Amino acid sequence: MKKTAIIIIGVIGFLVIFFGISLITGYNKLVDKDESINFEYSEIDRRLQQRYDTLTQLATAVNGFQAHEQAVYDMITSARAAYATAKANGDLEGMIEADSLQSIALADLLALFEDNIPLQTTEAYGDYMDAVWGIESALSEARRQYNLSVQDYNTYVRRFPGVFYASLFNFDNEFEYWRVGEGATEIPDIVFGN
Amino acid sequence: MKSAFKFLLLFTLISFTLLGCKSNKEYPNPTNEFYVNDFANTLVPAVESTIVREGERLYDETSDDGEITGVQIVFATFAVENEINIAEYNLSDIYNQWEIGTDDMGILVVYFYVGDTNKPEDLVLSQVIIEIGYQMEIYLSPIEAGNILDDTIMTDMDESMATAQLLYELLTIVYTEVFGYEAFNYDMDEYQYYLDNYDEYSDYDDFWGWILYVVLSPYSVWWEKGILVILGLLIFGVGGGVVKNIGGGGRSGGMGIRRRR
Repeated sequence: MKKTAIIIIGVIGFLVIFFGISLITGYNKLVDKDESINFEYSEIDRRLQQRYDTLTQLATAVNGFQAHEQAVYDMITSARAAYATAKANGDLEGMIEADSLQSIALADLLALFEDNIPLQTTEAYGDYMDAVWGIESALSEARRQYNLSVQDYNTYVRRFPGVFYASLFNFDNEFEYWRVGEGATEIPDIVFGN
Repeated sequence: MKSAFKFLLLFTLISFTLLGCKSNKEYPNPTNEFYVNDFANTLVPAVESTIVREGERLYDETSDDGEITGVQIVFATFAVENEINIAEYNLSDIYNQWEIGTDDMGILVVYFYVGDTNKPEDLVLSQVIIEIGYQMEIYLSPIEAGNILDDTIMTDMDESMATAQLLYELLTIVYTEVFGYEAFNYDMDEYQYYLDNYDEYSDYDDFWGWILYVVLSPYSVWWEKGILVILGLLIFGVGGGVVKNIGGGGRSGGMGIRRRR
């Protein structure tokens, strides 16, 4: 009798400790994955600000073709405004759309540059293109890292026991991927040298 | 009952240990020299030696306020069969796997060669990419990195000389911008002489030659053997097997520049 009671208490004690540790590690894992997404999101935000600054500089550099310049400049500023509004409203879809809009503005700006031979021969042109390639490369990497974090989180909360912990601790069921329009994720192919 | 519990506990511990050891690495680990990773086998020993020597020197450099140290400039070469295969390499992943530069203060320079990967002599340099660590972005912009590539490896200069000059230009930026030196002087004519007469310089090759001499030659004296034993103890005893350079734990966010040849 005494032996059976000890075994039962032992098993219950073991289960309590086991589930207690599982809950703590499960919660900590969720926090880590959630924070990782927040970090990667802030990185995209930082890179988008950098790109905006670079594009503004670029647009200013194409002085001389007023009509085109104004149109592209308007695109850049409206994309920036759309991004700021979407961000203020916590509208991820709107932010992704604004990101795509900026990519389109960038492509138009590059096309404008390509049509202007005298501009291409200036040293400033090469510098601007380097700046564009650098920031697009960094932005592309920031999006990839964000999506990897989202994939990691989504997979965890859809599988057992993550699904249990997520609902128990009231975490988001899933995060949205940062999917920009087709072609917008690609780094512009700028060829230098010979 | 007790033994079954013990077995379960042991099994769980081993499982967790093995899971903890699971690796996601998809690129080769850096070499023991760390600063030069010539996987394409295209760099000449003199240039490799210069990259390692300058890399080790730079790593020990510390800013006046003591806040910046452990800066690393790492070179790597990869050989691919077609230019399209270059896209399979993500430089940020390589940078982060190798953990270049303390506090993200690092630079990774990668040469991609195209051709028959089994014949290094037939490989042709196709692309050069510079990947810049997060913190290093403050000191080295893509514009500056692009200009350095244009003035070195993108010119008609001999590839070894161009690589050395590329290294020295990057060092110039780091020493002047990061560490506040007034200038960083180097002489490419002198380097050409070094390159042409590399065998005459005392270097790593001579070191290995000396080891062979002490071990094999009947003319080596007792104190030489003693030095070798002490060195062996230091390297294999205290050093944990091999003395090697390692990354400073840095990460990169994809900022960089590329040039096609």
